[in-house]
Amino acid sequence: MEFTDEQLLNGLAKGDNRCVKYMYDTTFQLVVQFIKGNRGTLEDAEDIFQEALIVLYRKQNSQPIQLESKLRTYLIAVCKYIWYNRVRSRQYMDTIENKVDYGDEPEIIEGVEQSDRFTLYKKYFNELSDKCREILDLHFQDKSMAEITDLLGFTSIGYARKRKFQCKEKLIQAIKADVHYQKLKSRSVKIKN
Amino acid sequence: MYASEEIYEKIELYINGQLPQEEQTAFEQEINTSQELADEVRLFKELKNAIFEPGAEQIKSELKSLYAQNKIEGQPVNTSKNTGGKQIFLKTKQFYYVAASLLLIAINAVLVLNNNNNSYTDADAFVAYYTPYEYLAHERTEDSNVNPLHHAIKNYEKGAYKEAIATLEGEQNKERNSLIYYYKGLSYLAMGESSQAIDEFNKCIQFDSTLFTEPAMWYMALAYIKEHNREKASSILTKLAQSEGRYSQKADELNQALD
Repeated sequence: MEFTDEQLLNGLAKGDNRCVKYMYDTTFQLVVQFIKGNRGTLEDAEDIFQEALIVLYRKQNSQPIQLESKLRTYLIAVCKYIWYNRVRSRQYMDTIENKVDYGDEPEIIEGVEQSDRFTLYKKYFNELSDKCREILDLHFQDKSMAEITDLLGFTSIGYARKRKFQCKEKLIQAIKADVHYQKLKSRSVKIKN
Repeated sequence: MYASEEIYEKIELYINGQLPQEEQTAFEQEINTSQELADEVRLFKELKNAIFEPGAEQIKSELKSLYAQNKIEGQPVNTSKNTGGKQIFLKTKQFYYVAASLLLIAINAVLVLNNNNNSYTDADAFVAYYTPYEYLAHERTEDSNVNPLHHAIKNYEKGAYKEAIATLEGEQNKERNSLIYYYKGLSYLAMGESSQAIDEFNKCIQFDSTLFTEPAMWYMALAYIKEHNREKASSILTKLAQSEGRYSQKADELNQALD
């Protein structure tokens, strides 16, 4: 089955298996070649490829990607950027400039950093109590406070609202206290400026 | 600073477009003037998308099964000893395996021939194979502040390509050295000016076999790919592949990917 790049991006944004398989069939081997040629293993390539598809998924769902070339080239460039960052953090290549060599470079950097932020949010969300996770899960699915009160058996809407605020506040404070978040936040401001 | 129930409520209403028009506009203006509030609003928006993302789990699970499948298919066939009636069964089974494999190869060949979308474009190949040159330790034994050539290398490594070229051009008038043309070529290539990069690499390989001959050929091939000149790129890659040097394996792989 053939897909246009637009169909692939829209499919990926929904987690469509056919689009994932198509991207895997057409691009994964090139990514393996690149990673293996740059001090990585097959497992690194699998990890990076997955992370890159998640970057595309998150980016497309936040703001549709404007491609300057083929989607496959874009995906390889994302993999490359993530790999350089990882290698750099392992201190193998700390003197080398992290160049993507692709026209959409700022967009790629922004996409990867947004995805890093999402991963960080999830980490702190998973550290909340079961009850807090339940409340926020329903809240993020746009359930009304009346529905949340009913579903979770709270005594009143007012109490449910208070609990939701406490849980969200706890999550937000934990995220803001993370040094990595502060770095990601300040870098994204620089990119926009 | 923004941790109060009211402000949380207001940000949520704003994100959902549920504030009255006047308040929505006023809040927007406030966001435009306060970076802190803008960060807070972005955090709220992103949190919503990050926590509820069912598609991401689907992508991970599909990839997990594709990776596992790839590993199973890559494993060698088990060749255990067989006897008696079992052997006849296995021979029949082997026949089917062979037949099925031949059929798969035939289908693959047809797919490859009919599916131009699966061949690598020049941009794919360039992005996958281009990495900035990594210096060799002995190239930088001297103090970079004293030796201008080492200063230029340092600038190249920092991504300050224009500065590197300026220094190298100054040195070019004083001495003939393959390193000068090599790093000029690298800097032009990194800036996307592949035609000028080719000129410099060509000058570099005019010198009798030096430390930079093979790397210059490799990067010149990449520059030709960027110029969409596969013929030239392929001819250089073939030479490199036959050289049995540092770049021969990569050159062979890239040449095959371009076919």
